[in-house]
Amino acid sequence: MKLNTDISSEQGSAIVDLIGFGVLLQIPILMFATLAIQTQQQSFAVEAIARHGLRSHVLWPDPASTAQVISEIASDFGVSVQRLDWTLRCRPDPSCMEPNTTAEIEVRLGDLVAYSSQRF
Amino acid sequence: MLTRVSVSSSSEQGSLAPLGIGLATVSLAAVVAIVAAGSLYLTERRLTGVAESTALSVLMDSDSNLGQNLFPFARRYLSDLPLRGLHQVTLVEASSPDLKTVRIRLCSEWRPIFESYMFSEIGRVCSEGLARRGR
Repeated sequence: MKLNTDISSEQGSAIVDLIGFGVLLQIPILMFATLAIQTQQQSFAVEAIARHGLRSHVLWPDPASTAQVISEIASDFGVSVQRLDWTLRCRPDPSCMEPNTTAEIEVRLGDLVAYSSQRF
Repeated sequence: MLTRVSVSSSSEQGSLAPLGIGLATVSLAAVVAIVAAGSLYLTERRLTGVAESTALSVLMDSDSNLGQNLFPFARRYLSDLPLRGLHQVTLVEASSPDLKTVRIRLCSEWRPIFESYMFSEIGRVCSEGLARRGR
């Protein structure tokens, strides 16, 4: 295949143009899209973990049970539990056992953070 | 190589470069649109969570007297709440249509991920939460 080196000429192979654009433009766009969608999927996962983890705690205020629910939801979303960091805070009662307590959960996965709070 | 575009609709002559650039632009725009839609969905989900917890709190605070003005209860709860991930949350409705169910409607600003580059307008998202009194 003969390549045309004259920049002002319109003659040449379309295959070269196609491969050039495919490699130079489409692959970086594809990589960016994959990264963006992956980050978004993790954002959805963290939000869901915060929401459902807190709900399970409100229904059954036991840290072990909450941890179990969080790990199950994380595995449903394909998120490693080891990478997940979560904190549950309650006010005014730090033990989260008294009525009229507001529970707040913070779930972190790398730079992604989700919060949820509920009174029970 | 990149500059000449054929203007005749019947002609097959011209560069492939505009076609490639156009395709790349459309692909990039599609990715940005998908990411923005995801961000909008997340904002709506967060707002729904806050609306639901506010409705529950109002139901508890009102001592089952849902005929009174419920706005102060909702405002007090929202002022105590750290509304992280949400911007400019406004309470639109705090009512009880059947005196058993509390309806809370909240609106918030939606800030897309690429707002400073791609969007000049900031959207508004609304969501509502309901809580119903038991027997």
